[in-house]
Amino acid sequence: MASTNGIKIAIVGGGLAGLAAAMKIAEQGHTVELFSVVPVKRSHSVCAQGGINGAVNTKGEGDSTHEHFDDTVYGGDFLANQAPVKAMCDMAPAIIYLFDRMGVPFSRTKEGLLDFRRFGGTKHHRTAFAGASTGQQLLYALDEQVRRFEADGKVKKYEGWEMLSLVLDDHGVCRGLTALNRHNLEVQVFPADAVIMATGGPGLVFGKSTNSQICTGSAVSACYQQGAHYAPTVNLFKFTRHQFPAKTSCV
Amino acid sequence: MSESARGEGGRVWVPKQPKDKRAPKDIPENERWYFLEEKYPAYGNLVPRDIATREIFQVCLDGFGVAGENQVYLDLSHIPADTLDRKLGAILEIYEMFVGDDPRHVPMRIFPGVHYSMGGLWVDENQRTNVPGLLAAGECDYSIHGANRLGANSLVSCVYGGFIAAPAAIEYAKNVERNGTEGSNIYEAELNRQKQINDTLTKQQGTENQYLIHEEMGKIMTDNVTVVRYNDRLQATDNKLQELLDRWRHLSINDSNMWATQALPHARQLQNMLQLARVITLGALNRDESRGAHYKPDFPERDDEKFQKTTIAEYSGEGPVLSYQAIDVTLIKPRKRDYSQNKAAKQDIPQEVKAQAAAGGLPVKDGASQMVEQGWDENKPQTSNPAVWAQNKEEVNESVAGITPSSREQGKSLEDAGGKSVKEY
Repeated sequence: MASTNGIKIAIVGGGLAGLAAAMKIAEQGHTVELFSVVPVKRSHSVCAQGGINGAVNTKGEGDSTHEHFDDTVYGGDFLANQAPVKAMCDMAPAIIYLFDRMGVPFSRTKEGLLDFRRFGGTKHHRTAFAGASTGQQLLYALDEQVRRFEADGKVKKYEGWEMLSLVLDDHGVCRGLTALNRHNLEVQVFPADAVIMATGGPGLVFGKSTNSQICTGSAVSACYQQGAHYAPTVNLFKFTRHQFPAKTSCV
Repeated sequence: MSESARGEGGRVWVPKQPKDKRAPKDIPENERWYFLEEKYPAYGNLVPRDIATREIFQVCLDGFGVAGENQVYLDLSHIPADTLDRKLGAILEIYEMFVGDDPRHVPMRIFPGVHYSMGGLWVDENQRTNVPGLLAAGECDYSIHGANRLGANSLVSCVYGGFIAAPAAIEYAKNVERNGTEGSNIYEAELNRQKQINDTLTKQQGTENQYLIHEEMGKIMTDNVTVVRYNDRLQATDNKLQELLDRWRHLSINDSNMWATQALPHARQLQNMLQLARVITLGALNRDESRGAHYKPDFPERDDEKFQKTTIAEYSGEGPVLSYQAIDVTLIKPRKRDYSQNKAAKQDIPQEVKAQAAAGGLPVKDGASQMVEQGWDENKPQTSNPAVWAQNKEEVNESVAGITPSSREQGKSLEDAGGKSVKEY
C-alpha cells in the first residue's frame, strides 16, 4: 500500500548509531534526513576511548561469541532481555572486521594482526582498540561513508538542528518531527515515513558528568512526553579525573 | 579513562595509612592497599565498573581517600612509558593537560562520575518503540546492557542498534499507509504548537533563572540518585524535582536576541531533563533491591522474583506511571554475580563426577572456564625487554651487580623462579 514516491527516513543524532543507520538506509537506495545538534563528528561517540568488544578469539584463549554474550548478561546482572544481547555479540566480530576494511587504524600486534586488550568483567582479550581514541576513529570512518552518500544526494544533513517533538497523527502514528535551527531559533517541520532516535544518553540530568554538553536526553524526553515508553534502569559510573574540569569532560 | 588503563595493567590503590602526606612514589609497596586486587582475586583491577565504583566510594567514605579527599590512585607508573604512549596515548595527554601531572610517572588520582545510561526508550527486538514509526538505537535505547554495562560494549551496541534499526525502519516505511497524511494539517498543527511554546517562553516575565534550576537539579540528582540510593532521599529528590518543574514555569529567559543564543533551547531542554529526572528517580525509588549499578543498602540483595523486570514509564500529566515487564531469560539462567571468583559454569558439574575425578587424581576445575592459565601474560614484569633495560638501567644494573642474590644463591627451585606451578590443580 506504500505510495509510489521513495521512502524518507529521519534520523535524530549523528553519533555512531545514527551514522550506522544512515549508512545502511542509504545503501538500500532510500533517502535519509539526519539531524544533529553539533557537527556529526563532535557527537559524544567521539569521547569513547577504550575500544569495541568482539569475540574474535585471535589470542587462543577459547573465547567465543557465546562467552561474550554470557559476560554481558552476567555483567548486566540479568536485567537485559537476552535475545538482542545474543544477536549483538554474534554480530560483533563482523562489525570489527567491517571497520577494519573501512580503514580504521586499529592498534596491531607485532605480527600485524588486530590487537585486543582486556576490559572489565571478562577474562578474555576481546577489545579491539585504536590507541585510546577508538570512538573517534570509528565515528570518522562512518562519517566518511555517510558523506559519500551525502554527495550522491541520498543523505541530507541538518547539523546545528535540535529535534523538538514528533509529529503524531490522530492514530498516534509517528509521521515526522519538528526541529529547531540553533542558529536563528526558527522551527521547521520535517515529514518522514519513520523516525530513528539515536540521541545518546541524559548525562546532563546529573549536572556534572563525563558526558558532553550535548547529552541532555532532551529529544528522548520529548518522545516520552508524547507517548513513547521509557525504561529507566540505572545510570552507570566510571572513573574520571578527581576533579571535574570546568568545561568539556568526556574522559 | 580508567578501564583501558586498568586493562593495560593499571592498579588501583590507596595508602594504608589514612591521610598519608607522602608523595605516592615515596610510599613503599607494603604500605599500599590494593583493595580491588585484595577483595576480588579472580578479576582484580578488572572488575566491572559498578563494583569498582562502589568499592572506591566505600574506601573514600571510610577515610582512606588519597590526602583525605574523594580520590584514589590509578597507577600506571610501573609500565614502560613507550608502551603507555602506544596503547593509551590520547587519554594520558588529556589527563596531563587537565591535571598537570605526568601519569607515566605519577599515579593518576581518580574518582567515579556519571558516565552512561543503561536505561532509555523501550524498544523491541527490532529497535522499534511502542510508537508506530518511531525507532531508537544506541545509548538512547534500553535494550542491551541490563543493570550495568561492560566496558567497550557501548560502541558495539551503537553500531548494532543502527544496523538493526535501519532495515526495520525501511520495512516499516514500505508497508505503512501514507495516503492522506501529505495533505492533512498535522504538520502545520505541530509546527504551530512548537512555535507557540517558544513564543510564550521568550516573552514571559518570570522570576526564575534557568541555569540555577539546572544546577539544583544536577546537584540533588548527583547526591541522591547515583552510587548509593536510599528510599527517603529518593522521595525527597522527586519532591524537589516537582518543585523545580513548578519553578520552571516561571522562567524569565530575558533574551530578545534570536541569533545564535542558547537560552531558549536550554530552557526547553531543561524542562525535558526535569521530566526525565523524575522518571529515573521514581524508577529507582520503586525498585527495592540491589542489582548491578543500582545499589540500595536497605535492600542489599538481588530480588529476582519481584524485580527481574524492566521498569516501564509512561508519561501522564501528573508524572510517570510505572509498570513492569518480565525479562526474557530463556538463554542463560540467572545466577548470582560474584566477581571475587571465576564466573560459575553454565552447568554445574555433578557432585559424583567431581568425586570420581578427585579419586582418579585428575584435575578438577570446578567448572571454571576451560582455559589454560589465566593471566599469565598480565602485569608481567618486562625486565627481559631490551628497551626496558635501557630505560631502567640503574635498577637492572643494581640487581645484576649482586645486590639481590640470584635464585640459585637463595636456594630456590625452578618453580619459585617462575616455572609453571602444578600446585593450582
